Amino acid sequence: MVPNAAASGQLLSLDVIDGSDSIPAAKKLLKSRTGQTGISNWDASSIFFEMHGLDVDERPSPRTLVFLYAADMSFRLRWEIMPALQEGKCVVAVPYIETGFALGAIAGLPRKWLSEVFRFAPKAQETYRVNGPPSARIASPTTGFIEFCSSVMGQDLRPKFASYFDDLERRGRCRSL
Amino acid sequence: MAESARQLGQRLCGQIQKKGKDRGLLIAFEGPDGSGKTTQRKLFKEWLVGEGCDVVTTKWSSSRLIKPIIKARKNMRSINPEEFCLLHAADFRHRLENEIVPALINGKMVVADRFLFTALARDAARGLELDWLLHIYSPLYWPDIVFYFSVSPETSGKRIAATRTPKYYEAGQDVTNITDPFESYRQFIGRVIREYDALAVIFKFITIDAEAPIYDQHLLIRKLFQESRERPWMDWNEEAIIDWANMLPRSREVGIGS
Repeated sequence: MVPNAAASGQLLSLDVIDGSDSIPAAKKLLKSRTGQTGISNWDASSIFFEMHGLDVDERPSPRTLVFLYAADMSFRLRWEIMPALQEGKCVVAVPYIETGFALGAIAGLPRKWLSEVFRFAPKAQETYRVNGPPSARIASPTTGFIEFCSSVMGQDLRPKFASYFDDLERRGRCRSL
Repeated sequence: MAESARQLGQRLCGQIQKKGKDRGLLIAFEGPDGSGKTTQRKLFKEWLVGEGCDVVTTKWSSSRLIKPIIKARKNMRSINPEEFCLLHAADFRHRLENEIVPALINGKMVVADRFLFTALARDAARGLELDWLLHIYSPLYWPDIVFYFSVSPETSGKRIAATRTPKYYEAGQDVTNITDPFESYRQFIGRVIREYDALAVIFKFITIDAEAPIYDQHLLIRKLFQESRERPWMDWNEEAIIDWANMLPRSREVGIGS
């Protein structure tokens, strides 16, 4: 359960509002880096893609969504992030744990509980967010986690996530890209 | 002014508490594979129905939303202990919010074929810390009664081997790295039973000798059930009910909140 600190690479976290920004923003972030790099994107485990395809009218609650997000995060750490870090690469995790914390905060889940859920995830050395207004139209639920949550919860949650990241930035806990 | 989730949760707790003996109870059947708990759960349910109770059964890893996701990954043998834990926690939370709590609030009797203690025992046997697991599953929702079907690893192994080959995760092959599923099961179930035995002490389960004759066990369960209906429910579950009211629009749809 203790995050693997032995890796020699560098972990950068990047949280985006529009899922379609993930890869372009990660590439932009990596442009200035030397050496080998990598990107780990949301839903590498395809949990959310598969769930979206189920013909079930039930909707997961925010707490259930946090579990699923954490399960996908664990998968990404195991298969993408940690192996790349162990090879000494600079890896952008887009999105990373702050997006899970943001959903929890928006839904009123206790911070302590969220910290425990994500206890397995190592801290990023540098933390970024993509600033700027969300696109006019919300994309399909399989574009990104925020789009997925918005679809499940029946409201456009992007302004709430943006406000959470604004607050993080004001407190110096992330930087705008 | 609109009622807050906390107020709604507290009001629901008050209404449930007022029902006293007539409120729905949550009865969990726990124990390792091959302990015979499903047989006992079926007999118990039939008896409850015969007594005039409105009974709902909930089974482990059975939600329509999460089960297919878990099943696909188990078939591919692609999940590690953390993912195994988090996906089962998602399934459990989803069933708790959508099946178990609404049924209890509506006065139904809920019989759970495995409850959160299954996760605690299995995940701890996979090497995850119990402290972390308890946080993950919080706010904890306590059953009124937990019947724990105690068997030796040998009996569990023999009963399973008599009917089928244990599946990969059931045999704990993901953590034992033993190729033979029977040998892996024998080792893994020993760990699971050790965790269950510890949980039985900590959480005051009612232990049933699952090696006793089936009908004797059933009669004992009836007797123990009738003797142990009074539980300090409000003290234990208020936080979980408030959390439920906060999380789900569904809480306003079950009828009792109005």
